Amino acid sequence: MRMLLAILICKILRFVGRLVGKGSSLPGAYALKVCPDVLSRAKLPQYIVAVSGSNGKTSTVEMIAYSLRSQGFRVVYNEEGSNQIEGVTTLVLGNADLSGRVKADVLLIESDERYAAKSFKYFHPTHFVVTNLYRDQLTRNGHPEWVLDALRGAVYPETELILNADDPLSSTLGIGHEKTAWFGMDRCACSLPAPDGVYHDGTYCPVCHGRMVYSCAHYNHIGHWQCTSCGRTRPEPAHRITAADLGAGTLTLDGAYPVQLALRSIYNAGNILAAYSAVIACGGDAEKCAASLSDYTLKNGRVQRFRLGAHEGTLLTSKHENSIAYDTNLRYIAEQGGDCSVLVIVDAVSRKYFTSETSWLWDIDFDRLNVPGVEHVYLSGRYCSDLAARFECTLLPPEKWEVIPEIPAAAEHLKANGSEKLYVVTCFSDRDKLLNLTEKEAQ
Amino acid sequence: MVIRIAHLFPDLMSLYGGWANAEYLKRAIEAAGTACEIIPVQPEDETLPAGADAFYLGAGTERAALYALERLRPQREALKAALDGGAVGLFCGTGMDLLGTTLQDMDGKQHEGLSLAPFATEQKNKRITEDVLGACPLFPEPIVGFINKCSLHRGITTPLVKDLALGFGNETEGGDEGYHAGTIFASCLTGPILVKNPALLKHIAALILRHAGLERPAEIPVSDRAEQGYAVTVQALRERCGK
Ligand SMILES: [Zn+2]
Repeated sequence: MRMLLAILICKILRFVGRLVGKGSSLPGAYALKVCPDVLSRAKLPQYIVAVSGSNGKTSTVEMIAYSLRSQGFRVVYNEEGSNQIEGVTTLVLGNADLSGRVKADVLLIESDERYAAKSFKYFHPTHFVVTNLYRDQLTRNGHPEWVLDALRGAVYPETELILNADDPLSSTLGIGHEKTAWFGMDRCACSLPAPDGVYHDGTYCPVCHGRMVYSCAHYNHIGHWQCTSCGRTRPEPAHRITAADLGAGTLTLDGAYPVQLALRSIYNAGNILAAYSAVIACGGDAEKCAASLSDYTLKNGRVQRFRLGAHEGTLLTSKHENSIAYDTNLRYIAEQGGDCSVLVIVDAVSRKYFTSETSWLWDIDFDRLNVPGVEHVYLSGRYCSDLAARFECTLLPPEKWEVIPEIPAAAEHLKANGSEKLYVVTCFSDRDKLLNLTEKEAQ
Repeated sequence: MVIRIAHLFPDLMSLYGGWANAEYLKRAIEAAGTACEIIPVQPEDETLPAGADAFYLGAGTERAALYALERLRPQREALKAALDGGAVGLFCGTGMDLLGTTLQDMDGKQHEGLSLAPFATEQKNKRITEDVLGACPLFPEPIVGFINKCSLHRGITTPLVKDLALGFGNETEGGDEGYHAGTIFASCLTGPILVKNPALLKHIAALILRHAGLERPAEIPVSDRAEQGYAVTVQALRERCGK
């Protein structure tokens, strides 16, 4: 009876909420007040897939849903992106009939690492995908090991873990966990001989603090690792990227299935592999999955093309407070070749909360821009002086970069000068401050 | 004459871009006219660099900090002798956790600290992350920064930062933060505390020059960019707390 009431309340509030354009956590919050254990009473689908990790959660979830749906699976997932327990409750009850049965084959949940333990108290995922763990939004998350400890509270023995063999940190979730499936990337044309970047989180084993060695690295501490002290080593993955040519935008999965990349980043390659592994775990077909992910264009608009004066511009959304997102985009710019300028904007550190914290700038490897093709770098936004202090400690010669504090002034300057390609590196919180001053290309 | 800054465990204790502190000290000393080098000290190293003028230890994860404590313990006497002799020590983030008499980890287990300062550290299961604005008894300029920690530091009577207008201190919200006595400085303000606080950079650089037997120059030049960045942050934090 209480469950029925909770379901009704949730459905009504969700309907009203959609009319007025309100978020997706409120209906669930009220339902939980009426029936706190409603999630353990609901009759959930055969597959409950949770996706967590420092980066690529949303993209991975979108790709899993897209691929499974293209193969005829009924999938419900939190498309509105509210992934705390209230949002999950809205999702589950909103898609349930009045008996509490969720009308789907797969329930897919993007789970914030910090809230996973709370969300999965009342039901346990059948599969838990962890894409990776590294330094992301440390103002909220502390550090990756802290996040790992939070995730441990959401791992149950009956859940099959789908883990990244190339990540020495998040892979520790698989220690002593019988039901673990691994995915990983072979040494490919784009692999590096060893981890690069300003900091080296792969130097020491997360289990014993002994020194680790790498035979190759994909990015940061993600690669083929081995601890020289306790002997822990990268597990042999069941699903692999067996070839990758980012320049040509192609991947091969499990030696057989080609994928065309819409977004040619090493990141995206990793997300595709995670999604592919999850789809197969839910009974999807490998070949069909690879075909569906080919040229699949992510909806979240991380890349936006525009014109500014004579410049053809590309905005690469980088997430402030995430040095690896920045590093990946800087690496991408350096690899493109051809003459270009780069505009880096740090105006509001976060769009969700106040902070003046800019220590993450010191974790970004701006030296990647010290290549012949990058003609000039402009720094703009409220925290441009923090950026400039960071640039003073790079190898870029001082004549190669300058500060234009006001974003409109930076846009005016670029509009009036030059015709080289322009890359803009900034966050969701700041991107529109520039894009609104340009001619945007339709997505 | 080359001034030597020992950077303790630069990879193990590398959170929040703390390497910038060693780098900025080097730059300030060089700008003041003296050569300076940063000497990395790894956990495997059996000895500390002899004759170092400064030691810097940054933040690591709580488990990394416990490991660092074990690795530093055999060097404790050497480190104490150097600091007693006027070498400068700067311990940031969980680096500060090692400095006191005891360290209680998140499982409640007690570890003997380096006993270089009279306080006790407790690592908790709750994380505190906040912007910080406070006063420093050493100079008129306010201290700015960000706290990102799970530790409490009990029994400190000589804090580095007093009267926090914003942020969590050693034991309480709005209390005092960090530790300072003689040439030893400790703070849980994360990352590039010396980039963000030019006055503290100048103060510490001057102490390092003194240890090397050099006169404090009339002015220790600091990057204009850092000064401008500091001004922006002070203003943002003052707006934030209405002061
Ligand atoms: Zn090990």
